Amino acid sequence: MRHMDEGVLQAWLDGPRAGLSEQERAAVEEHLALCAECAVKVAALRASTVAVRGLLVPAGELEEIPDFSTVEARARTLGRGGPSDQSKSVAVWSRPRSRMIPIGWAASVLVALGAGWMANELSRGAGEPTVVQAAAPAAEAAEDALPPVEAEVRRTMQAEANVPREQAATVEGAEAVAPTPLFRPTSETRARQPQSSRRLAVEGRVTDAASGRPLRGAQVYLRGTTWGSLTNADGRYLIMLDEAPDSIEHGMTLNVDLIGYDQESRSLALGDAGTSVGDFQLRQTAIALDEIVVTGSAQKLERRALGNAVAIASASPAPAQAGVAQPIPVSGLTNGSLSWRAVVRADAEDLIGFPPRFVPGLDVLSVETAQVDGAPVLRVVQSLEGGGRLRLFQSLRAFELDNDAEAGVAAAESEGGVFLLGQAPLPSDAIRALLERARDGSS
Amino acid sequence: MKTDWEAVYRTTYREVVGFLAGLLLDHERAKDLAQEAFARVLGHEADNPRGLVFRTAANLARDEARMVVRRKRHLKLLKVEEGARADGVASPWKELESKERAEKVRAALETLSETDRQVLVLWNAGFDYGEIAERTGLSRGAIGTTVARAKAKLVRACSAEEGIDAAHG
Repeated sequence: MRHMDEGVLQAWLDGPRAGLSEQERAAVEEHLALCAECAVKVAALRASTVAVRGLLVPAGELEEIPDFSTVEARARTLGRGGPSDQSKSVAVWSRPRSRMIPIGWAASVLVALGAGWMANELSRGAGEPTVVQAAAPAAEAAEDALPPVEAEVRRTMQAEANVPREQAATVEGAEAVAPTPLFRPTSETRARQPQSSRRLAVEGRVTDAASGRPLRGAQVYLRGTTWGSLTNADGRYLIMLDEAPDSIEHGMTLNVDLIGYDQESRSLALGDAGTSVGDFQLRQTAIALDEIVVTGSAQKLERRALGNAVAIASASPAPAQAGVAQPIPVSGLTNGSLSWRAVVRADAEDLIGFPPRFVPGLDVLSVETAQVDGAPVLRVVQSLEGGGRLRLFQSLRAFELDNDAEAGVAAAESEGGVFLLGQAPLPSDAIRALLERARDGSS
Repeated sequence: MKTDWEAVYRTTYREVVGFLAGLLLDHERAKDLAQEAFARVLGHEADNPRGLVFRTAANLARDEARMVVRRKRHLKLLKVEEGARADGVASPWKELESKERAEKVRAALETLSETDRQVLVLWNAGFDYGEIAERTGLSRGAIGTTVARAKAKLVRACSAEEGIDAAHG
């Protein structure tokens, strides 16, 4: 006896959806009646079916079911705004875009809704399946507990339901402005959502008042709260709150902001499980930008005593400061503008503040002083061995050579902070050598 | 009689999530697409509402399939993070448990071949053999065998996962 293929057994287990023919089914059953081995296979297949089912369906207590309102809200954005990538093969439900619903359609929907709801109400409640009217009072009594919007919807449905069906379906000229319920919560949903919880959904579209173009990126928010959303490329927005605060129980103000447009705001009323629609047309505003004036004020530079060294490098010459000696320019010493006064060698030190320097071995011809910029300068003239004279300027202030390489002039600093400048008809090097020989004359 | 989509939603949502998670190997995305599927069928009349939801979900999943390779790579990166951020507000433990379980099943499904997985998930969702064959490109006669094989594989893979867990624990 040929054993049954596992696939065939599985198909047999799956019943009609496997689409086995009558003969095939009969063959399997005949075989199973005789073959214990294949019966075991079937049992194993059944067991694995149970196991797989358990694995592939998230366990109830572990997988929260989001509230149905999220699906409804999504359906609305789907139908009204619509993602552009709606796949062809997927059945896509479009809500009518316009608030006006084709009359025939609306009437039939209302009837269908009403009838459905009535049937529900009847089967669940009174258990009196006879007349439609019988359920109406009960519904009315329940109405008090309902939020206004819903109550209105129910009233409408009830009214429609009371009209005989054929008649309602052919009503002509009736204003089809009744709010079509997006979804009528069953009593079970209502029980899950006590009246105190205020779910809130606001949706709408923001367009340019002039062109009618949708405006993207507009900020829509409930005034006085941080709740809001941005419009999408189609100008649509959706604000959903699981629990609205007390402050907006009786209504709310919606603000719309977008750069380049005047701010719009509008009050919207809503019921508990309310959905509100707020469409906005924004007017463009000429954006006025204030002139920008940059002002600055000159301020003194302040050096503060910080732990860090603050150094300022300046390109300009440092200003003259009291107590800080400026170098004496050589040109000022030799151009004859100074009045030199002869002094006694013994007095020289008192006048200039240091013992005068002399080059030993050279005859001293004269010792004179003069004031240069308020500083005393001593000039000692000595005769050179080879003829000519050495003028030896001495000061506590440095001498400034116009040019280091200038012939006949050399400068040096000797001990005691005394600056020397020699002038002689000699090369600079020779003069510098003489300066080095110059010593305190008193020693 | 108008289809009571909310009732269908309440009774079918979890199954649809499991179904999509099986096809996409991405639990979070599955939840999202499950909502999408319900949003799309909402308002339609259907003799078999459940079937319509699953068919819509399957189509969404197929449209998604183009990006599957890319997402898989991305997921591998995300998986590491996911464990780290236990951001459940209400019930972090449940959340974690749910994620762990979903992750385990996902890992087991990943060991199946693409075809086996698709067949198994579609079969589990109640599609008939003809439609499964059409969607997967297999012959109708091969469906039963594939289902039987895939079931066994998945169960084995899952117990292997458990085994690893036990060894670690």
